[in-house]
Amino acid sequence: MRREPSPPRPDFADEAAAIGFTFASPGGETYWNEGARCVFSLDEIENSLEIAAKELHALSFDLVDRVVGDEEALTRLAIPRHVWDLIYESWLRGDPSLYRRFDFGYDGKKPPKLLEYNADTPTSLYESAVLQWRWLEQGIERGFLPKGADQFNSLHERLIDRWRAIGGGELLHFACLMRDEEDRGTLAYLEDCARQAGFETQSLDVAAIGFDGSQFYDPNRRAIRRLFKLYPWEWMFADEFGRTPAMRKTLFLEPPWKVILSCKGALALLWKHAPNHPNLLPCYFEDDPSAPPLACYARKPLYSREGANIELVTGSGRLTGRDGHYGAEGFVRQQMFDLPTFDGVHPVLGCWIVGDAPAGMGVREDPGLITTNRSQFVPHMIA
Amino acid sequence: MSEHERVFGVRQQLPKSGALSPPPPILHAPDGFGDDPPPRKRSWAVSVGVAGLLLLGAHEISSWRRCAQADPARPEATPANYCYAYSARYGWGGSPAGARSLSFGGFGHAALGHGGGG
Repeated sequence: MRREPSPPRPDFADEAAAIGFTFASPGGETYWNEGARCVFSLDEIENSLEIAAKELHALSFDLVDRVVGDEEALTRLAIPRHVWDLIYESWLRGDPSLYRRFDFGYDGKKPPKLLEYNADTPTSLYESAVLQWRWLEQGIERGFLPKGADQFNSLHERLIDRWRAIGGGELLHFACLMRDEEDRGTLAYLEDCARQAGFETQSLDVAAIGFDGSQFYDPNRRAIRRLFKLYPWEWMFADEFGRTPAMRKTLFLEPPWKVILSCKGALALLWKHAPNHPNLLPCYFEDDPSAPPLACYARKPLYSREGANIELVTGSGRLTGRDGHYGAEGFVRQQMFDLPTFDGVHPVLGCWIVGDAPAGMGVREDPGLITTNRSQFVPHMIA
Repeated sequence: MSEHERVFGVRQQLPKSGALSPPPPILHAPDGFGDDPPPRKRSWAVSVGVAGLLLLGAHEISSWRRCAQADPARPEATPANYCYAYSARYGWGGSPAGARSLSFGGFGHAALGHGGGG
């Protein structure tokens, strides 16, 4: 694994506009950075990252199966009581999942370590699936990437195949907070994949979901029987419509049982159930009296996004941290991982699972030790 | 062909020029919820439910389980239909679809940022 400079395409702006990538520089700050590239060997991809993702995917299924009927564990994860049955039923029914992303710290030498598990609403998908693939294709074509270069990336095909497998033939609704450009772009991409898989689709703002006292409808009065929502479960559950009987009349993607894995408490439960697993870091609930002390740790809210309210603590005190609005539900402490440094930045590798198969990777890097929504996306290749 | 290509196959159907196929227009709530953080607004159904709970001295609107347990007249209320027991007692549901006007803005209140990411 290495990072090296790469010549940016002079016509990148045209390319981004042509393929509908609208958030390359949100707020004027660079997000997509093709002035550098990460290079991996096939062995690193196949025998370290892909295997780690597969293994943790299996472990996470086992964890849900243990937790979903365990009231003590559900309480530990701060999942509200009023949705326990909804979650349990969705697991028993085998409600399908579309995708998820494991974020690894990895230096190319030691086993990848799971830093975060984005089980419910992962983003950076379009840039992982399409933008960096086109960068690879054009790079080979234009000669700035070697002819045999490859990429850990079958996301696009697998997403379409997964939609086909989920199937059903009914109208499929897509909802997010439309005011956010990145969310809107990610949703549009997933909607496009679903349409390529044969679905009729309709996207709407989450606030445009209507309720008639019995079930959910879109503003055109079409029943919402299947809904992909890029809107976290913990917010759904807290919203007033999340308490209505209509929650049982819609099939959601991601399904309700995914909230067990999107809670950062799952990192502590994974460690408890698979202690010393080579791809896990020691992690404990902060208020667990039996937890051994960690000298250096990341303090993470049970529910938070994009690095908000995460603090890194060492023996000499708080090393760094991020502000935010999260943390009311409690915290976990995860042993700090020594992120590798390349040219002054720290990469985090987001490995995607679509359905049940490893499907690709996106690399984000940051000069700070906490990856946030301002961290840059850098394309990768296998060479 | 590399090992990776052999395992994953060749790519297909990547968005071509124009990228995303044009979907139907995005729907917004009639009163504009979602353009900005939505104001807190209680649907009539919730208002009825809250009023009903207050009147009956129940303590926790969030628990359909409690609703069912508190209703010995409805022994058929199993975990799968707690919510219907709740509906029948406090006024949610039970009407033919389409018979009532729609309430909007019941999702989006709890957002603390953008919904994507992890």
